[in-house]
Amino acid sequence: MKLPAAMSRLAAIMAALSVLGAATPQSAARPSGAPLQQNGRATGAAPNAAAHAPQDAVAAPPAPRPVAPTAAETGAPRPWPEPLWLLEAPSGERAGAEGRRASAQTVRRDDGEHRGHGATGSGEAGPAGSSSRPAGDGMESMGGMGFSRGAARKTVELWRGSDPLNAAKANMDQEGLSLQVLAATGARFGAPFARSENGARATVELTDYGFYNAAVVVRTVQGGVLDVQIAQAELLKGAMSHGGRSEHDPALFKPTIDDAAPFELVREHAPDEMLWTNIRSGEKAVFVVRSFGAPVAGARVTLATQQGWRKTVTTGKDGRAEFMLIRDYFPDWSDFNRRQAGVFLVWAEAEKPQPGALDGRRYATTRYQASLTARYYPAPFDYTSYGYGVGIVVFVMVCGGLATWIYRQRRTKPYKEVVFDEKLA
Amino acid sequence: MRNSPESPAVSALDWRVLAQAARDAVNACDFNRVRFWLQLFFFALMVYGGFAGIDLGLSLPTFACGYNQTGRPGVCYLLPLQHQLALPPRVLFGFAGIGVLTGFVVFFLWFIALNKGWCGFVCPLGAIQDWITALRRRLGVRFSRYSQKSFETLSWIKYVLLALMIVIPLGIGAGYFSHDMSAPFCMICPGRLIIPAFTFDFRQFVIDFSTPTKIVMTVLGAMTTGLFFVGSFIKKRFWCFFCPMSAFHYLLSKPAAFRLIKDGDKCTRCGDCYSVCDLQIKEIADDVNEPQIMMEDCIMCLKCVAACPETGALKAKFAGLTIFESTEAGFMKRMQKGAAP
Repeated sequence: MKLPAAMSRLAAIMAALSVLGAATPQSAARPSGAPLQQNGRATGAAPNAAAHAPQDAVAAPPAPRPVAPTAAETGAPRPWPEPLWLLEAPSGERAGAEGRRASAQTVRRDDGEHRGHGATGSGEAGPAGSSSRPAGDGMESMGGMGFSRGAARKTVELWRGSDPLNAAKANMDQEGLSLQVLAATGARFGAPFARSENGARATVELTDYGFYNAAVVVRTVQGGVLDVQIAQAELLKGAMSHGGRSEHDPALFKPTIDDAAPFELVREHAPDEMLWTNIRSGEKAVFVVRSFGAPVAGARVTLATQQGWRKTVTTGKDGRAEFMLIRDYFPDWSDFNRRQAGVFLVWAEAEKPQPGALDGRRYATTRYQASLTARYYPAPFDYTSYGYGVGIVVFVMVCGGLATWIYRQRRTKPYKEVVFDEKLA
Repeated sequence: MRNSPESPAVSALDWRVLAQAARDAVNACDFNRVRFWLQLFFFALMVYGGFAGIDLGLSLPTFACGYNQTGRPGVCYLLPLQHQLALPPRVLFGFAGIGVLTGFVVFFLWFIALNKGWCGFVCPLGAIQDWITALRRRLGVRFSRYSQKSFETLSWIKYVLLALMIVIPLGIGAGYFSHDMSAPFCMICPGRLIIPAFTFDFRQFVIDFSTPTKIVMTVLGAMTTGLFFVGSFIKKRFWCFFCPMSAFHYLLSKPAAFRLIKDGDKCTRCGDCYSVCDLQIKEIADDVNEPQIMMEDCIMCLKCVAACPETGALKAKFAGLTIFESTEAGFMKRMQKGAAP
């Protein structure tokens, strides 16, 4: 090839690439100008779709980089981004060093068999094992009975990854990133995410009892596709009983659905679920995918448990996805902790041919990804026995009854006939 | 001149006559039947009231078992008390202490209204014991009584349980005991197993093998439940004799509105009251000096009042007003009906 011809082809390629200019899934750094809109506001940061790495590309200096063809160009479907999700920090945990100190004290104060009420510090290498709140028979949560008249403070952390055990905290740029909360009463309020050594955290105060729908939305345009990632959390201000209102008020136990949300994942509550109910392995977990309050059919819903077991189902017309929360906690019996909280992550994905533009960048398709997390505890069947319980009750009844009968028999003097001998009289 | 129907003199007289007639009717009532229906009503309220949306709070002075999660109309105070005492000392003796005191005040206000009538009429576990006693009577099995020496020795157990019920949670809060001992009395209370079972919730009939402490506590709970059934079958109100709630009640009973009063001058020491007493309280027959005759083990079932043949010897008063008293006529009527208390 002649040199001028080669130079001209190289120039043409460079020109084409400069037009494309967008980040590819393989690129490690943020392409200059790639927008990230959080809650509708552009911040200039872009999530890395392929890696688990924190989204802190804003801090990285723009640099020339190799550019690969986009998915739209190659025709191959662009992989879905790693789920972005919210995890509620364990109750009682305080952010930062203060929280870790308090947690350490909690652990030391307990007897080593179990960690006590409250929480432990959150781990840095994934949320696994970071929580140990009461589960048991449901009664331990009464530790705060009578003290929950005020607002409940809830802190959520932002994580990224499809494996709860090995996920990383999403230490993304927090400029303008805020948590939007919808109360069961219909009230809406927000809280900004704050950057700390523990990643991105937002704290809200819940004043009314019931379930709150919290979410943070991140929008990204790449390769002509708008990715809308909705990290949701179901927050609860719970109590055993509360300020004059009946604890049997069913309106308090329902999930809060955001009818204004274009895409949403809602956990369906069990019929007997109340303000203190814990989710346990061995139970069915049902989720409903909704768009503006209406069920979404054909959405892919994936559930991943703490230890990495995952299953994907497709929603039907009713938008429901049903899973069995399998047991995935198998420690040595001496290490068994019935208060051990695992985290399961569930996310729903759906694609819609909704063209539009975001910050001047056009897209032909919109992909929604909503995530939800919850803590779950070992099922009581893992460590309790009806057989032994009923057996002991019956054994004591039989032995007690028998002992009483024998005692009475021994105290009963046998009948002795006294014959009056007239001859001796 | 004849008095008009609106005449104040006639009206007052009518009211006095009506009031006296009402008192006579109450004093001559078939007490056992009335008490049975009252107990049934309160049993339904305390076990199933939650289904009707009733919420009486967390400070009830009776065994409205908190473990009966769906049916309870409120919670027995001993459960939240133990949880509250298990708070870390800096919390318990800090701002949260106000909540503890508030709970106690509410409990106290509930309690002084009925005094130990909570045990004799409202307690669902007491009603179950009375029904077991009725079953034994129908089966023709004789009941047992403690010897006086055993009575005096065993009567300390409820105070020991009350002390442990307070000390252990405080120890938990201070870090000396495991949280698995949380609500220690509830763990050994037969009500935890039995009362939820009436709403088909049998989850408490388990042994928890998760930790050695849990194993011990749940085994103790199962054992006391077995003992409860056996004991109640052969001994009237077997469990009430050991109940720390009863001890707690007695310690607070001085200012109570509902009282049992004895007029020693009218007592002939016939011993009928002692004979019908489920708790074998000897003083009810022997003590003719102390008008406040409610003793530590008394459950204020008022069976002694119904069994007394001496008019005015025993009275149940509420805020100074006599609501039920022994009368000769009432006694005769009850005896003639064969409804011996």
